[in-house]
Amino acid sequence: MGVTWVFEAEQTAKSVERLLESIGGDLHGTFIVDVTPFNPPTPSSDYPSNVVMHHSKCPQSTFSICPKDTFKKSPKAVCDRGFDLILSKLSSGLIADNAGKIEIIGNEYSLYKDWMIRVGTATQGTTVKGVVVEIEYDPSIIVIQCKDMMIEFVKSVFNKYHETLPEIFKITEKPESYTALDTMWQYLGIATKLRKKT
Amino acid sequence: MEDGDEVVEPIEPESEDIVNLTKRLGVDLVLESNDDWKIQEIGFDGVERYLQPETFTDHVGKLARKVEWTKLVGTKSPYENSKVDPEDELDDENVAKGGLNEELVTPEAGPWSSVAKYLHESLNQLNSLLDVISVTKSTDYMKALTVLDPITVQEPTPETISTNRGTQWIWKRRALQEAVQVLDMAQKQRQRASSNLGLSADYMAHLQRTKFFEELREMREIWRVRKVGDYICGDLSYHIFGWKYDTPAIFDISRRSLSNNMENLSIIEVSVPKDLARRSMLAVSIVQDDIQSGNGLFRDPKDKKYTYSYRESDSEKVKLLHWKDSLKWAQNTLLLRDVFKTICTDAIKLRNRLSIIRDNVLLIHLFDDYLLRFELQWFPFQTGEIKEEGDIYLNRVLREMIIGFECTKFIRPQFFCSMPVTHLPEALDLRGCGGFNTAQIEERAVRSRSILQRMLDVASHRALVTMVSDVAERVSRISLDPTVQYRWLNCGRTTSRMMFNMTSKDFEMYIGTISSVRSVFFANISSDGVEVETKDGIKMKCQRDPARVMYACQYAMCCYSVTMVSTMSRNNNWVTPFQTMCANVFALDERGNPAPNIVLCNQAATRSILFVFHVGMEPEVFVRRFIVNEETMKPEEHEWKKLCYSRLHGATLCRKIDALLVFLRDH
Repeated sequence: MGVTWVFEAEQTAKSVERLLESIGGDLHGTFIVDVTPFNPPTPSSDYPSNVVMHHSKCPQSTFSICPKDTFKKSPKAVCDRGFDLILSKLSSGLIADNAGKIEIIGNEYSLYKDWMIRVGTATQGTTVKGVVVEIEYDPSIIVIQCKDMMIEFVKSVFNKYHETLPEIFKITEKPESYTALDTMWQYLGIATKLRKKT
Repeated sequence: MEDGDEVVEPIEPESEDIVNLTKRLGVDLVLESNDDWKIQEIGFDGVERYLQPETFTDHVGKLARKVEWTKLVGTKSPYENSKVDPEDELDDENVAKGGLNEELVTPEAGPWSSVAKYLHESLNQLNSLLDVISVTKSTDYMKALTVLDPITVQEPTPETISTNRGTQWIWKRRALQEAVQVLDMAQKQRQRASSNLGLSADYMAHLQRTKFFEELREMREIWRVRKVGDYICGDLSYHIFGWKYDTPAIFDISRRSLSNNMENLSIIEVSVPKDLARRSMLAVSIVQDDIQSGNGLFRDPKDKKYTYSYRESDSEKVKLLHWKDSLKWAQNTLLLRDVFKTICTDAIKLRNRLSIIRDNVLLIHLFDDYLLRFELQWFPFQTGEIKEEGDIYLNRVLREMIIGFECTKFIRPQFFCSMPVTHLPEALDLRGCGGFNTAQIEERAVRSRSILQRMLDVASHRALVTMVSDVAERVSRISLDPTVQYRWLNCGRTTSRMMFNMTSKDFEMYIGTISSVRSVFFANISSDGVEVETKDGIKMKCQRDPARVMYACQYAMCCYSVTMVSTMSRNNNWVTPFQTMCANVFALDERGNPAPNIVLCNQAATRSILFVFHVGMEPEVFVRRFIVNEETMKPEEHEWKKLCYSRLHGATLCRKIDALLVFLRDH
């Protein structure tokens, strides 16, 4: 559980995997992340929609974020998997939007024991929307400690995506702990972007 | 003013004139048939013009005109009454409201005063009636009955009868009477018994019954006893949580019929299950697997010593046992049988360790040549002492582990708000909400280790501890200088620590606080191996080899000797101490073995002395001429001359050093 940077890659998953293997990464296993929006039955502005996510890294947890304008204003929660069962009982208020569900499935590579890089293809239904890369630095959970190192890492490995930093890197100035919810917020942003893409 | 069939106009006693009128007896009545408006005129075309009746304001205006205002207010008073002094008002006569008058005039009640009074009274009555009704409605003080309701007397229901205090007293009295009867009978019987000296059959039966119940009560203090219909049975099982009264582990209780020649037997006869009718013992020991012990590891198949099992011919002997013994032994047999079975099952599951089971003996590989041996022994079911075999410490540890295992709740109990029964440890309760990843979940999922694994750890540690104490004993015996003392700092089941203290007799005053680093070292023993550690943190791994432990101790002694030499040369009482030129604790000799050394030089700079301390051997002492100038020296003049250590004067190392230093001080 470390500081994580999620971004969308403009190359195929296979090419990223080959790149990682060339720098010494070992295939560790597979991973799956899914992002499911929940909307009220009649679209209204009073009741905002909720997004429920799962990540195979935390197998017993469910993440729920209600996206508002800013990161700090959006109510976020981590719960155990029973939350999904509860949500099915609340179908009068929130209905799962399965058409808008985005799944990211792929492989994870471990690099020199400290870095874990997950490369996955994002699909909505049957259409492929893009490729998402997640870079996790295990040893540290303080963003300001390893922010610069992560930028360097991305620059040296990919040479492309290091300019657009994730929001959490930009807004954190004090030594605060990084949590799994911050990762899921990044996934949420990327999923929203992917949904709009055709 | 209300319009009605009768229009009555009472006279209002407002003005002075009206008061002075004579009292009239009657009332003016104006009867009109209807309340048509009065006709003012009828026009020629037949249209009637009505006289509109006065409105209230008209009427008030008409009356106001009748009032002589000037008389009331007075000409002098200003228009605004508020500025008038209230004192002035007294001058006016008969002010309409609230004026004090000398002449008290009783107000005329008026013709309707009696009606008003009756109405007022009836209103009061109605109010009180309303109050009564509301009281009856909301409280239970009164119950409203209609006129036609019959007044019924409530019959006492069976409930009220039983809760009635009177009935309770009656019952108590009846119960007491019964008790009195019983006590009377008992009294009579006792009197009869004391006069007969208790030989009647009744009395004997009675005695037996009481004795039986007393002993049954004694038994119930230790054993679980249950009555099923007419039979009483007990339970031999030892589990605290789980099924009880399982058929293979129950024993029957019956009353023995006493005859005269069995005075010393208990009245309770128990029948123990036949397969548990033997005494057992589980012996644990550490054995070495080598050529000599080849056949001793297992039991000789022809040896019948520990293989007793119940035979029908022994049933008579079994019956003669006291239940206290037989139940205890039977339960112990059951327990040990189950434990041995569990240990064997665990041994089979441990794939990396070889184990062999034969004839109630389990041999499992401990480390190197050593095996851990569990033997289940059976003895005849009779009184007598059984010799405890095996390692007593390990036997006790095994027993403690068994009991601890029984007492541990592996399932968390249910709490006030009902929670599911779960095997998961408490540390994993928030794994969903905490967003733990798989590695963290694994870390927190502490799984219990089986008894066999824990026994293996304890047994290997024990073997190593025995080995280290052996070595320590040898080391302290053979070394003369320094003298080594050892003691245990910490003795645990799986880790222990021993401390070695080195001293030189008669030379302790030279050992200051500086040298304590070298005079103490430790041996840390875990269940895997031994590690010798010096006080400045250098660790020497000795695995499980006693020779290596010995070597490490001797090396520590050599380092100590070097320190002694340097300390002594400095702290000498002689006026001219020796100078330490160089000292190396990590030096090696020609063969590459550690050999700490130290080079001294005397004050006159004529001689150099070299001490080399080999591990486990005698130290070597060399002397040569001091090299004043490295460049101009001639090697043949400065050769090291070895001195014979054993011929140096003095019994211990320190004395020899002392003597040598004295000799070479000035030469």
